[in-house]
Amino acid sequence: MLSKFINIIPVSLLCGLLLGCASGSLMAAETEKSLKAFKPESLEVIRAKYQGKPFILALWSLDCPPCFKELKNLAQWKRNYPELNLVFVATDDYSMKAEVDWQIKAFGLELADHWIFSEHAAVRLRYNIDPLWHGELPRSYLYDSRHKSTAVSGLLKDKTIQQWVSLR
Amino acid sequence: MTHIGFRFTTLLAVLFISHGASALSNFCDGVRSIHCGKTPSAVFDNGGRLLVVFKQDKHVYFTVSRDAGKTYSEPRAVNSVPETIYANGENRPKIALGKDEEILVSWTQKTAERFSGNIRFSRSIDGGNSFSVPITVNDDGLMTSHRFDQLHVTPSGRVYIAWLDKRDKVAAMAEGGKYKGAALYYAVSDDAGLSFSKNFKVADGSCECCRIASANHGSDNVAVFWRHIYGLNTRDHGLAVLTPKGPAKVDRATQDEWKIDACPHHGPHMASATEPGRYHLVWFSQGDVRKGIHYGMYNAETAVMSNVIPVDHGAGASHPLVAAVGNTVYVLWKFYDGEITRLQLNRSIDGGANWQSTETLLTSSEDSDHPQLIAAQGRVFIGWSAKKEGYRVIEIH
Repeated sequence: MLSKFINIIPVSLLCGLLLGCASGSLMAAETEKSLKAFKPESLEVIRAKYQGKPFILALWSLDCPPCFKELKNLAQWKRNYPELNLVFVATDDYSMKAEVDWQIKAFGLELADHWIFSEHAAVRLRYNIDPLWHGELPRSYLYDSRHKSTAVSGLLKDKTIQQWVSLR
Repeated sequence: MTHIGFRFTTLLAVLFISHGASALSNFCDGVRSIHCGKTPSAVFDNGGRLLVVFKQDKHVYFTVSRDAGKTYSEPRAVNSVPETIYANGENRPKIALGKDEEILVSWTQKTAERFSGNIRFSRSIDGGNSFSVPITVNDDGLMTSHRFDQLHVTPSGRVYIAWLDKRDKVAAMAEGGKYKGAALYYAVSDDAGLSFSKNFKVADGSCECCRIASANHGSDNVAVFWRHIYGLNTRDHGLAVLTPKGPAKVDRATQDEWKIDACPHHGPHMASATEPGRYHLVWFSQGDVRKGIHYGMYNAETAVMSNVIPVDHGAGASHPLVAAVGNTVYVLWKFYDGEITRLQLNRSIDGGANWQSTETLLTSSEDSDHPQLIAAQGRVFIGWSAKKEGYRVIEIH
């Protein structure tokens, strides 16, 4: 699937359109080692960090079997394209921090951005992310460089990511 | 049983005055209480005592209220040996009353692998003073998912436990194959939970993370309603009739065409209607055909749904329940508006044909559990656990 993707979109185009490498060079992704507590204002913090750049916001949880397929697939994308801006938010209780952290490492996703729901009311955190989200997981938001986002419920298909990339 | 109950609301009010908004979490430090534990389930016994189980730390606890939820006895551990227990809105300890007032309790134990678990059962034959050593009801001995238990006692006294099971996925993968979702399994006891039958499979390909609903089907059988995967990835609902000798009837009950490769975390609910074999059903969908919470009248003999009525398609609407007393039908659900979670009630007094306008019965300003409807001798109560407000029980009037 990924090899097909490479055939469709040249890496230079990827850099310019998807990965937000303004300098035109494939810079190493910023390493995020810590799992941060996701608070009511955190989505704004994330958007500010990726200002002018596209990113994927991927919601998942430890009690969601398909989310593990999602993590595995996105880990594959990240390995092939370290510049891909991936922001993961685990909707688990904050007390599950150690397990979430372990899982991130197990998938080799340390280089992505990672958050876990803080001790703020989860119902409010969910609403702040998207009042129209019913809680199904995985749930993803494909942000373009102007931060117009497209919501996707269920596993992100490679084709969907490819299409999103080609439109950026 | 010692009865050391306290009036929680009064205590909470005092705590709020002295400690501010974090009163409950401070109060709960080291305290074993229905207000501090998670995911309570309740039933009334024949004497009007409210029997509740809840999860706290590594135990299912049992507690009794003699005043319909104002005060509670000192909680007693059902499992004396600690074990990890699933406790969320969809997967929670259950309690039911046996024919001779045995107190029956089931739950899902979390085992070592991801998503793995065992269906556990214990009972008390002395009114809750002591509980039997828990047994594991799934009989395959596999370290895989046996979760989302549903406990049901028929009018004849048979005890059914149904659950979602991945043993067939293990078998398929061992042969290099694939398996979508889980399977619905059950076991039956004809001696009030002293022993259980072998495990029966109802259907392959259930959704993996949604609660199972159950209702009487005649005196000896049970009807179950659960989220199932149809075709490639259509997550609608099935309805099956289970008998002591195996599943008798397995049908597709909802046709909303919700095509999604995800966990909705949103199980359905059901209640028996006055006419035998008919059921009031409520469920949630985001399908192409229907979106939001719906009510419908289902005939299990013909597998025909009728009178499908939208209940709430608002984005904040979730987790519907239904209860019926004669021709009075109650549909209860949660609605979050960005600030407050409301328990909303729709009421019909003609068996579900017409519905009165929506009432708000309880609210919560922080996180809250799924509510429960507790029917008892012609009355219906709501039990609801909320982080800030504790566990509340009110009667629907």
